[in-house]
Amino acid sequence: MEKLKRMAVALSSLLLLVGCEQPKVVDDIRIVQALGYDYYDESHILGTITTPIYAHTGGSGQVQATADTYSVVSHIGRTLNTLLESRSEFPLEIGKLLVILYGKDLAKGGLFPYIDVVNRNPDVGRTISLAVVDGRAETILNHKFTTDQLVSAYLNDLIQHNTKASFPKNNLHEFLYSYFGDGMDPFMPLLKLKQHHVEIEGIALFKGDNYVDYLPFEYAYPFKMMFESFNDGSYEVPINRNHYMSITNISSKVDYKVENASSNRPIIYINVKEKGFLRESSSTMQPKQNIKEIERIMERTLEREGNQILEMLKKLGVDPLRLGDKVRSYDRGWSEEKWRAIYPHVTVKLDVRTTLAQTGIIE
Amino acid sequence: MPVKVPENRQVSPYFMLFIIYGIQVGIFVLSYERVLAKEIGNDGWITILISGILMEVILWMVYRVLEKNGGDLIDIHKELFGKWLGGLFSVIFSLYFLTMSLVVMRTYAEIVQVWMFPHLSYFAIAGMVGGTAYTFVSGGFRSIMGICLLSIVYSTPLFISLFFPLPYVHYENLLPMFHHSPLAIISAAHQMILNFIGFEVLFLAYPFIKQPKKAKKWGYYAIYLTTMLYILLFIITILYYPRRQLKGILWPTIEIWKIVDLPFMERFEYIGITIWFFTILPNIALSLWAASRGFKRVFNINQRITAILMSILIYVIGFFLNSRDDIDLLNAILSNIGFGFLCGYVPFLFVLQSIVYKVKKRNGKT
Repeated sequence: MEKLKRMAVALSSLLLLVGCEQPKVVDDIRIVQALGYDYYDESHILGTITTPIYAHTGGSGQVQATADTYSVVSHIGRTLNTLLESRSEFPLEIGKLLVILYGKDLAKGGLFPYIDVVNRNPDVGRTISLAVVDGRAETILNHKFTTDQLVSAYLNDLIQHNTKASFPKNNLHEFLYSYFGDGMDPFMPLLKLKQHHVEIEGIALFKGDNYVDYLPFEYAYPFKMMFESFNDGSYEVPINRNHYMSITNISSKVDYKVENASSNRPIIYINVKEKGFLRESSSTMQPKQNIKEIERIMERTLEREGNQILEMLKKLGVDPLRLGDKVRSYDRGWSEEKWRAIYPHVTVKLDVRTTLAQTGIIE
Repeated sequence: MPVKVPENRQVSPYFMLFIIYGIQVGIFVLSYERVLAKEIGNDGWITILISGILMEVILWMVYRVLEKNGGDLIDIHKELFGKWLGGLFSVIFSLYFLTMSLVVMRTYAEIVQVWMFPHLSYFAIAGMVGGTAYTFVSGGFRSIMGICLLSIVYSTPLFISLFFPLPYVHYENLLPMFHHSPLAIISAAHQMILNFIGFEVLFLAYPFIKQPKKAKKWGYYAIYLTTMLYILLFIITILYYPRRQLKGILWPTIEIWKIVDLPFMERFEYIGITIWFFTILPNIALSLWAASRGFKRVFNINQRITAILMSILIYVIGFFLNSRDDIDLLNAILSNIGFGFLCGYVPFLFVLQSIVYKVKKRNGKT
């Protein structure tokens, strides 16, 4: 009995200690789901947040979320928090953040300070989407889209859904990896508001953390093919001027080899092997289309587009394909400065091999 | 006369595995990748392998020293250095274990504060951790063995979390291999020592094991297991982060948990850190037990009383070490002492003992 009493005292004192932590009731916080940063003037930025408001709709018992979006102008170098909190009736919590948008003008001046804030915060996950907006982030976040989701979830789904099919994989972790890694530069999707939809305009290219240029969306697939191996991609092969064949379920494997890595003229071989299915249902079949011929056209087109991308990247001096890192893994004396100097002159040989299979339900 | 432990307080031979695994795998698993990568980069796994082999050799020495004497470290000290000097060494040994439990408790409290409950005070966290650890110590050696076993059972599901970073790994990061000089690779081994210290607890726990000869192999298995665990975790971390980023990440293992994306769970590290409580519990309980056991054997005082005094002591000292620098310094001190003890004192003891025994034998013959 004595022992039991002592146990009870010990246990209840533990409960008292636990009471020290501030409770966070979900009704009494504002969950920030999207963040937007825009250029305002020389010394100020415009910060925008979107938080969902959950309200009961009549007696149905269903809860419909509506987005509440508001912006503040803050001095560069100040965190937005204090100002944002001053307009919010409940404390803002950043743990459920889904997407961060950066205005193009701001991105040109370097994004790292704005990304580092998120990087240091233990509350923020690593799979959130980052994107550059052609225009202003504020405009997109304030827009009413025809979707049952909030703008934050809508944008996140838009980006992540595209990463599955034809857009290279990207999120906060990938950005940080390329930003910190030697011999590579990060990229993000470039978004644009077109009437009532947001569209991925292309791949925003960065040098360090400064936005320099973008690759149009048509080049996203050949970029992805050189960037990573993947399953379940899709691509349209231009057969002739106004006829395209749709290839689906592409599984693509990319393999890098480097020759003369330690010399000033390294040769990088990019070998891509693609396996796909020709879906007749999604394109009108020409009579007797030779599958071998389509394969050849696809190889040629992808090689041409890939080489165009490589030329452009070399001319800009940015390395989102992480070629520098590939050379580094073959060269013990590798250094970032040396690589940057020789990067515009390296030889890259792209070789694409395609195997297609035909599927359809009618011969 | 070497110490004898009654059979009802002893444990089965295979518990040797749980003792060593329980005290080695602990708080530093969350952070060792960073210090190692800072010094040696992608070749760190070789360093881990080398330190693992070194630890197997030292474990062999520990076994030999203990077997020759037949008792525990207190008996060995008495035999080699006499009552006073030997007793002093034994007290220092106990204090070393006390420091170990302090470091583990303070570091864990910091992690909980940074990652989970920023408003929770040190006293609350350390009170819970220290209080739980004390209950196990007061239950005796066998109940500590129970928590050692449970800690393995509880923490094994965490291995599943290592599958989540796999889509993000970059195999180029391991290349070029053997990028650093052999000397640099070996000298980085001292960064791994915090992950391997603790198995010296055998110096006190050895008499508690039934048929110690049978138990020996379990000890070697345990160190093999921890070495493989560290290598696996290190390779995943190196493949997942570029080196420049890894240098700045204080707890790489916890950061890896952040990529775990479950539909019902946004922040997996909450689960990870909570489960890790059961991994550090054997750490603290065993080192606290060793510290109080040392005092009991030297001064012949009740172990429960020393244990509770010691828990209060580390609880209070921990409060004054409240900055990151203090904690780093504490870790560095423990690392140096541990390195000196394992790689300096144990071989010294081994050599000294064999010399003393040889001399005795010769004297006995003539």
